[in-house]
Amino acid sequence: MSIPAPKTGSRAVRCQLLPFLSVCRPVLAALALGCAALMAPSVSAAKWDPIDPADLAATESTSFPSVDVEILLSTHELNEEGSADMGGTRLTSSNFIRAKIYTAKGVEDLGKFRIRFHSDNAVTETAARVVKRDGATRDLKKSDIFESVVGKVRGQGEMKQLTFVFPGLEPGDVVEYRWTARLGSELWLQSFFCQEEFPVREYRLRIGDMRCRGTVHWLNCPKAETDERGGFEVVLRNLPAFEDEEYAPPHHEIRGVIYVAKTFPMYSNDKAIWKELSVYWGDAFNTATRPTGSIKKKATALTADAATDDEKLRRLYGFCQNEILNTGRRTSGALQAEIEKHRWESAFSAEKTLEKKFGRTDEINQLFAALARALGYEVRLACNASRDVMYNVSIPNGWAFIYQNHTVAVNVGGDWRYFDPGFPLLPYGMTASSAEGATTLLCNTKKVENGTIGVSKSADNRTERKGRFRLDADGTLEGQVEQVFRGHLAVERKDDNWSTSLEESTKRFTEEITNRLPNAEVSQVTWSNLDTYLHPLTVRYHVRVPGYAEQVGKRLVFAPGFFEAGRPVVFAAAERKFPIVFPYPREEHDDIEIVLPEGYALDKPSAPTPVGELSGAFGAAYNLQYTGKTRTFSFRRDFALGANGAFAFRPESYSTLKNLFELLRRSDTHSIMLKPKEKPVAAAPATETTQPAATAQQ
Amino acid sequence: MNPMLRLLGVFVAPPLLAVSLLAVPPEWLLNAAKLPVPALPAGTPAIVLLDETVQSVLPDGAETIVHRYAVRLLNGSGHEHASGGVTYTDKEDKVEVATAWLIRGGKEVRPPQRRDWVDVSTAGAGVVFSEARARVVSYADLALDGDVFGYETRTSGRLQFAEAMHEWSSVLPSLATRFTLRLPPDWRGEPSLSGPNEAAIICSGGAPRWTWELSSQPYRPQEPAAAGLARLDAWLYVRLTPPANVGTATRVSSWADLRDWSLRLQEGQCDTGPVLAAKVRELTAGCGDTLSKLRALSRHVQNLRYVAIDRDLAKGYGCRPRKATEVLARGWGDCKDKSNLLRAMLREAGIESFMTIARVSGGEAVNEAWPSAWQFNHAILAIRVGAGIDLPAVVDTSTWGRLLFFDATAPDVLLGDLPGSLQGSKVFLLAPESEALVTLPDLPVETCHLLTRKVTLELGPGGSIAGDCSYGGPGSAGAYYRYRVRTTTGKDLRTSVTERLGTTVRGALLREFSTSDDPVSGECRFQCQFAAAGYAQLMPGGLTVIRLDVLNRDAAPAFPAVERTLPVGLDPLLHRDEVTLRLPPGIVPEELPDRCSLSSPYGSYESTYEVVDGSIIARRTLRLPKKIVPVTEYAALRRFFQEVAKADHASVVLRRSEAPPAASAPAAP
Repeated sequence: MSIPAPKTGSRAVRCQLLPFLSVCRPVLAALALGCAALMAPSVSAAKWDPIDPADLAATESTSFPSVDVEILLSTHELNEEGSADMGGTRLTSSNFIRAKIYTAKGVEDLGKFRIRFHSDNAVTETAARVVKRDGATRDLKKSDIFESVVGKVRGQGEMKQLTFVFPGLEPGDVVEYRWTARLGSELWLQSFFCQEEFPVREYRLRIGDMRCRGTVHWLNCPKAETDERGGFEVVLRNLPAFEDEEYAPPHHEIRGVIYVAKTFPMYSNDKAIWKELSVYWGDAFNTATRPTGSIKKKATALTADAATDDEKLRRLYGFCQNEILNTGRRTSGALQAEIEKHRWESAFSAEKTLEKKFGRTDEINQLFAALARALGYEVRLACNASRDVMYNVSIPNGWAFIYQNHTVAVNVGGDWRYFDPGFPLLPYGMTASSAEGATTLLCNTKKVENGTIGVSKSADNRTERKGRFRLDADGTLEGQVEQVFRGHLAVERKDDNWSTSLEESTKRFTEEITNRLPNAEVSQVTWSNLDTYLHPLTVRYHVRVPGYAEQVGKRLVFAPGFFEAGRPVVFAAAERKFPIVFPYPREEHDDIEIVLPEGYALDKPSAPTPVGELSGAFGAAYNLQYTGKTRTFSFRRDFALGANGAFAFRPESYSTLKNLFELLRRSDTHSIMLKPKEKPVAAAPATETTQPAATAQQ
Repeated sequence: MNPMLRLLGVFVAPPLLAVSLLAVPPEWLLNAAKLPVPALPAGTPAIVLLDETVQSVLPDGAETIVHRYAVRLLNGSGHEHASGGVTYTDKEDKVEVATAWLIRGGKEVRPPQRRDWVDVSTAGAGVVFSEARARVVSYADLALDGDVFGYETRTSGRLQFAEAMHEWSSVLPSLATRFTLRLPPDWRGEPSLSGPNEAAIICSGGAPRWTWELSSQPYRPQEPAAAGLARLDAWLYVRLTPPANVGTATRVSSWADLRDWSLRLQEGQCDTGPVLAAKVRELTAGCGDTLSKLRALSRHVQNLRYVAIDRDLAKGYGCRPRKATEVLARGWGDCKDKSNLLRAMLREAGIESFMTIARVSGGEAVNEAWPSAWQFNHAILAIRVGAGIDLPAVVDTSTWGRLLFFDATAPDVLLGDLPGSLQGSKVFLLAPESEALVTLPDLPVETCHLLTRKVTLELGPGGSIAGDCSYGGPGSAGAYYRYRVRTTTGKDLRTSVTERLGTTVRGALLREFSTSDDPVSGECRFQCQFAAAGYAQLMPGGLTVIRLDVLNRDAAPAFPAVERTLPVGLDPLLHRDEVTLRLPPGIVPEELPDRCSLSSPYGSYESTYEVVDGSIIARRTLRLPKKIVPVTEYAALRRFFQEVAKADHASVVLRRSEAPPAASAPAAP
């Protein structure tokens, strides 16, 4: 039921609007791109091909048993409309989908089909119908198709939405729908995920016989059939539904995707395009990073007493990251005005950045490059795809994906080392985790050259966790904790803090603890080095966890591994399809001391079983000690993932990895039992010594 | 154009024109920006300096609403509050003014790029078309700590009802929140206030111009288990009486008026036809009694897809269902469409029912003294039933006898049950004799909020276990598990069950998994069999420690925070666990947890352990009432749940039977 709310502008109304505000910018961006197509509200008469009676009668998919929906046929055709002489051409895509619905969930999933488009574009020839199991058909009428304006901005048109609501839909029905969309004036890069949430029996993409039809490539689609008669067609069959998995590689590496990239008559092949890009960007970079007199002077001054390459580059890096104000971070009104003024302009030259003492990410990187060049280093602009998209751009038309990430490559003794001082808070020697392991284009005016960005070591991304606790006889654990984060572990938290507030960071951190220990009272949280890359991030807090130790009759049972207690399960799925890729190698080092309650003694404690190898791909080691004099129980844990550099694994390794995580969890939650001390029969002098309670190390 | 540049063009963001067309900040905003900020709790992201709404009714029933808002951003988390908006109804209202400013150090920050107000649809999920829209603006990406953001909007339109309403509720602290109502001289207004903080609202002026103001609202951040209306201070309702010759706004001065207005709108919509009649016959074929017919018809309508179209809202069509025959033919509809269709189908089956308007959440606060359509946003059905139908959702009324209330839009809440958000709420029947609200029942916790979990564990060699478990229940638990089945693929369901088991049972391998759903009792359950190697921890000396809480204990809420700002809303729950651990020959219990029993106004808890025929049986019962706990009682509530957490243990210690107790002799190696 919908009644217009009272229009009295209360805060409640305003607060309800907040979620919409977050979409404002994407809406504007989408409007600027004009990437979608406009639907005409009319429904055209359509001819439909007959449907195989076996499909109509089917109650379950033969190729994909137990699915809710199966796309029987998905066809898409790109064509050129108009002519270059008569007002220009436009690209159109004609689309047709035929889907079989097997279950009530399928009815819910496919009952509404939506297309979004920009008002500058157009969509025509829309039609849809439902075919019942007995072959009876029902075409969608105007009243089954709803057009609405999702968002509009003055002077920038409207973002519209068309919704087909299939009438009388039931399990067993087949639905068909088609539409033709205008895409833009010419083809740059069109990318289609042909593997969607439903399995597809047959997927066809056809490029019509256009003047400049582009080149078609596909990734992660085995057994493609092609046909070049009258254009180009690629046919894919039996594509399973795409189901994401935890720690999976980027979608472009694992999900069926077809991309059509523009071809350029002046460049004979992709190699020529790679070269042009390399030359063009390399040229521009060399010009922007020319070491002028003032740059040379600064570089010399900064490295006056630096002996090694590493020391010199570290000085330059530190200067660029700390002394040059990064305008990517809002810190003052004056800076704010500069950011806005300069936001869409070309980058300042390195010399100007040095003079102004502030700059954007790209400007700071260019200054670093100029300073390095001033010292005689060979320096290149390195372009790569974000690891969120793909690792390896050495694929046909891979050049189309490398515009996102830029770093500075410096040749040190014949090896390329990568730097990104424009990324605030990123420690020297590291690149953003989204760039680690990525293939780069080392922009060069002479030849195409590729490199690979190195991956940080597990010790670079380590956390040291120290807890000093007291356990009460009622099972309450209370004490002081210190956690130190390094490398990417620190960058992520520091970066997060920039966009919120100290209190918000504290709240989120507290929630991390209460998510695994719901009754934990966390207080006195203090942070160190949240706003500098120079030192590791440290957080200290007090914690009290009622009921941490279980009372089992007279005994107390507890897991000394406080930092791992209550962690959710990793790799619950029984099977794995895709490789496993962790964000980066990492280490954890735990140092826990628990003063046991008076009147209790350890009851035959055992140590957790070590897991894997600490110096290998996956390993954990434990060490337990007990000091009777102070009733202090010590628990040390060392864990490393990718200490040997391996942090990505083949799907075949899943069961081994899953098993290792299960063993790790078992050891991490290993329990210790306490029992009340027996009353001494006769008084005897006690010799308290520090003795190993149990040890288990590699 | 150089082809290289064209090639590169794809990588270059389009330069945007820098335009500065902002109006000069008004005095009211500059003055608000000078207001001192009082002491606030640490971490308060922002404080509202002014929130002022002026509603002016014109003699012909037209209205203008001016809204002024100023907020000081105190830290990074507060930047997102540099945003504003105004809602309106398309084709009916006009947004005449929408301007925003950012003030820093008493001066305006003028971005080179103009900040556009974006016009967005406010349609919710399932709504394919809606006239409900909003204009929104954000300066969040420009804001710095200490900035003041302000905006002013002016909308014009016509009064839909001869009423005015305003709500005071907030997350952010506020210095002053003001609502002014201006009426033409010959209009009358009867204001009334209600709400937990109504006494703090200061009213100044009087007919024809009133101003109500609330000062110093506190910061009310997100907190777990906050009661539904925890942030509400007060509502204001003003009944307007225009002169006799001004008849554009709908006048509702009594519940009978609202009933008549609603019934007029719905006239002719509850139609029938041969297809509908045939469908009823088909669905009720083989149904021997009224209850079976009710179940068959209600389930059919509930299973129709939820699709809403909000059109002609100013005419009241937001309350007018589509024709029943059309909804049946199309197979989709919203709450009123579905209720209306079911009403038509029941009528075909000889069963009388009434459309009923309700409020999705906070329905218990519907004010009997304010007969207003604005108090409702949902439609359900009241079905007349005889004494033979005894279901929890039946209410005995003096006017219509026994009424079974049913929500056709909640696909997982079966006939006889009610969604938790409607229980205890006040609803209004659209029936000829209807002149007052009806209160829906709070359904009994023993039958309608019961969650039972039964687990049997068999201890094997090396500490391995094999388990058999079943969990679910009728009522709210049944609805929850039904929802999971309806919306999750079989594979994802298995994975989520494995994850749940894995939280306690390390390396649990799910062997069998199935679900069951009884449409009569409403009992929906998950059953699974699993195994895990090395689950029990074997201790030196022959002792074994094993946890019995294999399905974890997340049903008991936790309140770790020492301080609390908002009242706690406890949902009713009766949670019964029974875990049986079958011991292999030669293994006996060494130590079991003590029996525990806790009771408080916030619930009760009991756990017992016993050994029966070579098995340990652990039972645990947690009972929570439906209750709103005020902040003043938070410490006591927290104490109770901490006691539950301390007592809520499930590990047992086992030993070999041939060995004497460990305390009196060295344990076996």
